[in-house]
Amino acid sequence: MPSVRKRQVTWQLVVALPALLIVCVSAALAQREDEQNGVEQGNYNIKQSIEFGGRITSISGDPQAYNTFVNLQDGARLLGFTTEMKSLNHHGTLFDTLYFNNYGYGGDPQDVSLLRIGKIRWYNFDAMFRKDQNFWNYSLQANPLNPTTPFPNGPPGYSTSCTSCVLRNSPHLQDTRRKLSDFNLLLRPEGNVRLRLGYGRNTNEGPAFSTIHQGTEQLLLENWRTTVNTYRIGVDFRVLPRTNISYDQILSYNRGDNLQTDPNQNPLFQLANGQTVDLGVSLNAGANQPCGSTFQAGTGFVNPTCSAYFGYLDHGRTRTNVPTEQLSFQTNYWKSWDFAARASYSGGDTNVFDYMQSPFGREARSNLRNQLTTGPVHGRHVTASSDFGATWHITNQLSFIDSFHYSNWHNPVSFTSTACSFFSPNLLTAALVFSPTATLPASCAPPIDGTAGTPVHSSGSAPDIAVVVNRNLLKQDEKTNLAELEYQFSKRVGARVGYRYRHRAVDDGFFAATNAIFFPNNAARGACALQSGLLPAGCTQNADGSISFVSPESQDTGETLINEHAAVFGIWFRPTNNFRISFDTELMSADNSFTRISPRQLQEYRVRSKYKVADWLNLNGSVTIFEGRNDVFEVNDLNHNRSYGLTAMIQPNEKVGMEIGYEYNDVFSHILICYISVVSGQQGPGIQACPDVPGLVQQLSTYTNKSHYGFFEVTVTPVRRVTARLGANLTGTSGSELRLDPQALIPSSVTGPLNSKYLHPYGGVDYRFAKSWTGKAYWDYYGYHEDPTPGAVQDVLAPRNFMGNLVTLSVRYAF
Amino acid sequence: MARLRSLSRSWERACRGGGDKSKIFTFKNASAKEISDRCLTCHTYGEEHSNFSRSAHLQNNVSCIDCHSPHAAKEKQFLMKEKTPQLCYGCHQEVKQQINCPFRHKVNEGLVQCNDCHNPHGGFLSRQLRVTSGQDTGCFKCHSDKAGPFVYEHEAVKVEGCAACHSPHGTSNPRLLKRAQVNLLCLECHAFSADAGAPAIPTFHNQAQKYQACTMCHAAIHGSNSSHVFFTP
Repeated sequence: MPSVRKRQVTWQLVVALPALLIVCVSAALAQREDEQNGVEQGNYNIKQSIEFGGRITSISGDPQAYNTFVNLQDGARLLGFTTEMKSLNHHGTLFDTLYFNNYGYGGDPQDVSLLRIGKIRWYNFDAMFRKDQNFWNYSLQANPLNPTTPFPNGPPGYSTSCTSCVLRNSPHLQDTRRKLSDFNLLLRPEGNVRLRLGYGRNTNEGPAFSTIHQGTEQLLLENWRTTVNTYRIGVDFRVLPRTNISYDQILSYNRGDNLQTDPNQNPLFQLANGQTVDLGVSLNAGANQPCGSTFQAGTGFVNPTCSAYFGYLDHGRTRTNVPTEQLSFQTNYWKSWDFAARASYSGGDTNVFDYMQSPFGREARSNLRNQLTTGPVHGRHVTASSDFGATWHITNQLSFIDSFHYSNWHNPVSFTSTACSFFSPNLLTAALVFSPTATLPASCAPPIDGTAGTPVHSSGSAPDIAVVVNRNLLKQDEKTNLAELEYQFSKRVGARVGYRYRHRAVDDGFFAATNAIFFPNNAARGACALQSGLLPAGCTQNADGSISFVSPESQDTGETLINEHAAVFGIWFRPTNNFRISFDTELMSADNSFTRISPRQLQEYRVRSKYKVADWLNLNGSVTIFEGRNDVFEVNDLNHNRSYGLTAMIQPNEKVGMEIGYEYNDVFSHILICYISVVSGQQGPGIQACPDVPGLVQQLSTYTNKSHYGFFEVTVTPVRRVTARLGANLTGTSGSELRLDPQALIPSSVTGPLNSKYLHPYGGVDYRFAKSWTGKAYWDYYGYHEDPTPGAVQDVLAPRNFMGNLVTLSVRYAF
Repeated sequence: MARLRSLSRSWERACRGGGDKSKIFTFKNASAKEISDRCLTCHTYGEEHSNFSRSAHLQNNVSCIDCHSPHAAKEKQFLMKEKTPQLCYGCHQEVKQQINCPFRHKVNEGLVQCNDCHNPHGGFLSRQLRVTSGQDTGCFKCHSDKAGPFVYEHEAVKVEGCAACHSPHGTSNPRLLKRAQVNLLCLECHAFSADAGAPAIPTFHNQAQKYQACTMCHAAIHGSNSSHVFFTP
């Protein structure tokens, strides 16, 4: 019986499959027609499609790196939803056209929605929403690269092998969610006067980790929360022929409510009283981090004189509002002239309210136990900018073009900080609170667990109470003018030559004034340390043994002037309608630079070409070269970024299409740097001393990064209902950089991404299996591989390599 | 309807010769300048297109119809010939390589678009970059927490821009940094105290043993309101 049933099934299949095929083919053809035509309902033609399905993933290796680069996970998805409506007679009741598109919903890291509605003569409205789940955990980032050197006397897990010292995650891991919304309404789009209204909202929220250096490197949990709201209203006047005048008012309101805490008390790290502490993320016994004799012999308890923390709090409410006014116009009222100009002014305020920073634990260097820093931040953000562009069409072939840009911004900001510091000799002792009789710069509430006594200060201890006024002013004035002559020899050849001048004046000024008091013991410290047995100016001995300090306002100002001169040249050819090529270059020379890596001489060369060899073959090629130099004494900076690319698009017929390309990118730089790298107190041999900074050595830091990128995509449509795709994006990177530990390579130091491969092959099939229905099956492979550095424990214990297979199955229904 | 008829007449005159077949404008053999002049007869409204006649695109013989197709658009929004970024990659091939690096802005995913940062129709800044409404660098539209102003500015951020340290499209280096190891990037500026610029590192920053990543301690490197050495926000 089973064999008979099998034959029956086979027979049914033989009959049914061709029939189904015929139905599918006809349905597919019909569906194409339907999709093109849409459905007419009322006064509208409506086209809709929805694509839903799911993803299946299989990931091996480091899932954190996969989530950082890709982050596509298992689960059901709305892969696409589109609605398009068009009024048949352009007399829709509320709108004439509507377009609504969405994708990514259901769990993809990027979700996007787009809405456009318009009614001819009356309005255009567009809205865009974008969400990005930004997961970041590339373990090398901000990683102390702890070695596995065991701590003597360490608690279990840290005594014999310190593999758990090696951080598997980045201390700056983040898992934040950014949402960008933009809404724009244009009223009377074709009118002589039209009104524009806009609203934008950008939020960034979620948990992240950060670190703070205060004796040790505490790992902090950061509750990230920023919001920017932007409101815009503008009006366009088109009352003169070929002339448009616009006026805009924009208000940007920025809120930051980040909160940092330290919940990372390791239960293994206990004091003798059983209290757990955070020793920080730098766990390097050989480098005495977090301190020498971190753990006590016999007990494994944390050395109470070590830097360690019980808690931390940092919070403030940042509010910045930036109102902007802008006037712009453009005209080609005069036949031979074309003008565009814009002027804008922004003058806003920034404030940080309720700021407080409060570490609680011990900074060994200063004996600091509790500290509370508060104070308001007030500032301004002022920008004036304008642009002016003019084109004079001297003849039909010859034009003179001038573009002028002016920008002037200045940001004066002040912070009046009040810092109350309390000290204790070790982690087991609460803060010792002094009772002063002298006049204080500010009142401070002692810590709850504080006990009366004389604080134990070291020479590095900060004032017990300090009120510091910090005022900063950074400003830049920039003017750029580009004048060009453009000549079109024929419809096949054109060229231009020009001169660009740019002037920048960068000014920075910092002003500080301190009113502080140093309590005993060791009151004569810091700014009041004795000089030749006497208190310095500004320090006054008080009867209670404390020393008051009032500093005159200090100033530190500077100005950097930079003049840049550049020659620009460009030429394009179009020898045939099928071939075009353009070349342009800029050669710049400056008399100064703001940073050491800012070029004083710069050359840019760009060549781009497109050649349609035949109807079935297109070739594109490009060369872009950037050469920069700041080749002055003690800098010796030389760098380049060169890219060469070629792409071929092949389409022999409607059924087969292929695109294949290759790009080579070569990044190089060298520059003199000064640093210190000593092992057992010795510098590496053969390295010369830094000429300006005693104690540092000087070396030429050479960096290379060469990337080979290849891609292809083949699309085949063997029958009208089936489309198959196969492709890949493949990147290989090799490079080198200066080792900062020339004498003794750090066993955990790795080359990381400088020797890496990032591979993304993919393929799939679209099958239109019934009227309006298309099934899709796609496969993606994501692979990241870094060549391990021999002996590097970071590569052994926390490699970033991964391989991820992703299958996406979906069904699209169009109606 | 009167306005519509007026627009229709404008288009007729601009492209169809107003009924005179000898005056019909044919794009096929026209230069980029002629084509753009023709399109800008109508599309001159607003700031977006106001500088196209001085744009890098037109100066390199790229006209409106190299990106837009009035009659056979694949993308209905703005009648584009192709979706972005594929359209842009057609000429800017070096950017495609950068956007396909492991560390990149999510352009291929559709989250960020080329014209979020660049105005393809021209502008007054290099690379035809856009700015925020407050005339700051366009990066701050999304990365608003870096905008400040701060009491303690990392001056290079404001003066030289984000691209002084970052490769904005993409790179093999984490955080889109220009160097694989952040310390080397920092040391390129913080090298000599004799310079008027950035101070050198102190002599207790022993690169052989400690301080593997400068940003581990200098976590608020883009600017701080409370720490002159950028330890805290």
